[in-house]
Amino acid sequence: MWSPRKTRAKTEGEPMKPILLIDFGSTYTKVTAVDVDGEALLGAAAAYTTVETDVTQGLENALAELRKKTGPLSFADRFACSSAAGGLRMIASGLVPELTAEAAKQASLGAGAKVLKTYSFQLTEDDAQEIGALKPDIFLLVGGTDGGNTQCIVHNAQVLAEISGDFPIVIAGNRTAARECQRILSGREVHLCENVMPKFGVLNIAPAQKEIREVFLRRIVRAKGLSKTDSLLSGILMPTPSAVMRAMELLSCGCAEEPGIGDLVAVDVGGATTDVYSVGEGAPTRAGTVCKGLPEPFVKRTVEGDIGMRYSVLGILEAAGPGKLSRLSGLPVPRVEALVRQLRAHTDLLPEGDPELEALDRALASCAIETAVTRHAGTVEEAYTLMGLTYVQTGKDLTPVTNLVVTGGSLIHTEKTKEIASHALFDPSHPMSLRPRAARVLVDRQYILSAMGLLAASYPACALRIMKKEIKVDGDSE
Amino acid sequence: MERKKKVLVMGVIGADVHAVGNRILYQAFTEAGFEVINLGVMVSQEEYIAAAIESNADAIVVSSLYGQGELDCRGMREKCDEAGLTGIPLLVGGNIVIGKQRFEDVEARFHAMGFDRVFPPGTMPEVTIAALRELLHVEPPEDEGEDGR
Repeated sequence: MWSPRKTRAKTEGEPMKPILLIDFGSTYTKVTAVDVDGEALLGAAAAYTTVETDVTQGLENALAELRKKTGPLSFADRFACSSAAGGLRMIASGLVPELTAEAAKQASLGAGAKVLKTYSFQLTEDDAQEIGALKPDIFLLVGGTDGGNTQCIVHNAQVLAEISGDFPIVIAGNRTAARECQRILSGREVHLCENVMPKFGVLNIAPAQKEIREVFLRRIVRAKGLSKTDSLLSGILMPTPSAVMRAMELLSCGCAEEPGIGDLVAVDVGGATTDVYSVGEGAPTRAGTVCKGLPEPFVKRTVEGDIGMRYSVLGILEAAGPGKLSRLSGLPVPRVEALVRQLRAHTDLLPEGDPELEALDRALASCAIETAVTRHAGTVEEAYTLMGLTYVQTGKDLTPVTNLVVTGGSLIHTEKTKEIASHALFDPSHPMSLRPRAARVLVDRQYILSAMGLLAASYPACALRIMKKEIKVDGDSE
Repeated sequence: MERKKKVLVMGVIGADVHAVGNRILYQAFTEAGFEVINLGVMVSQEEYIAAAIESNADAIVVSSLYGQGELDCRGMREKCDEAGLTGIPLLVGGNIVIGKQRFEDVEARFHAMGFDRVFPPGTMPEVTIAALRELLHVEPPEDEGEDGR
């Protein structure tokens, strides 16, 4: 797998090409140093971020921490991603909920955004008020196939024009109406691009995503105080989830010099949300299956805003039920409920050796993974027709996927990673959910995914080899 | 300027997997100059309606070949009205009912359900195409042969 040149041990004085990868988070700024010549991680460090005051301070502190580990380094390049100040906050509007509104949501999520709200059909006065109050970073306006419905998108442009606020609007709907919408919104920052659904059933989200990323770069970064770090960066500022997506695509598909590991599912269980990524076609595996719904993006991202280990811990309790958490943790139901409330009230609480909290955290992480992957994966239904039994599939069939990548504090800081992660897999008692049947569990213990996604833009082979080395197998699920 | 093609949404309704006739009709409608959105087999009323809304369709053509069409089509006109597709032409054809029934009776029942045109088993695509042109006020293209293909 390794070319001879790359396996050579590093000798004293040999030139090294260190690259700095920065992740501006909402509470921490994380820095990772990589040597692209030696294809190795040099070190990582994190420091508390204060976006309200000055992000450069957080970065300086993190760099000081890093220097303690690696010694002084002279970086050839510095790349950054950011989820600071709430990340890239977007609102989208489409026409039919299952069609262009869903396509708009997919486009936004795939661009690494946090989707605050997705509207369908015509926007109302109340919607307008809500949008004005939410103050999104970008609004994605779509609706209608090319040559199709124009009424809805034009109406929605008129509603948007009345909302005070200076958020940019990306128009990616029916091309027949695009110019009219642009005229209605004159005076606002408007970006026109190709329709997210040019024909019925055709998903075309890449152009809108490209536009969103460019707007993010030009404008959002400045608004969030990151411009102060401009002089320190050589480029690629992207939303952190976008970097993670890029890393997952690279790990799965490989690059010219290095093969990927094939189809995968990745889960990041965070404090507030749980993100799930899948890379693969997800085509039906059973003969005689009829597919329904929108075509699925090859690299798909979903975000469960109600599923998280601390801020959204009540959502896990609601989704899984106290009975299941009690069974998995071995704690009585009233104790589970009391502890969950305690975790919600004290979001910085870590188990730190407390056996009850450790057991509960494991149960919570298991249920978070199960809920999030179940919502991400496709479903199959049996339908009896006069021609016999037929299967109707909606979403991706992930049953043949054999790689499950997991990350997040609750999975990294435990010895039972494999046991917790196994809840992402196919469950015979819920055969309709098309989750992976048998997958090896790969753990990102060093939290390198976003850094590798950044590195991938300039040094894909290096990023891929580091991922293959650092994201370790935690055993097979079977 | 080229005249915009009329847009049809078509598919086989209900738990019906008969795909061959669906493909033949798709070919015939496309060759006749329509822009066709083919939803394939096992299509629900909601899917026809959603596709028609997004694409601003001019007509919906429902096929049913397994005898359950009457049940499957019930309430479709009302749903179209509800969704704002007021007055959109609805056409239905195939083996839409079970057993030997007088076609006139079947047709009357489907008319009562709000379908504009009802076609008996064995209808040739040309007949449906002619009906669509009449409903949508379109002339056949000049290069179309005598046999309608």
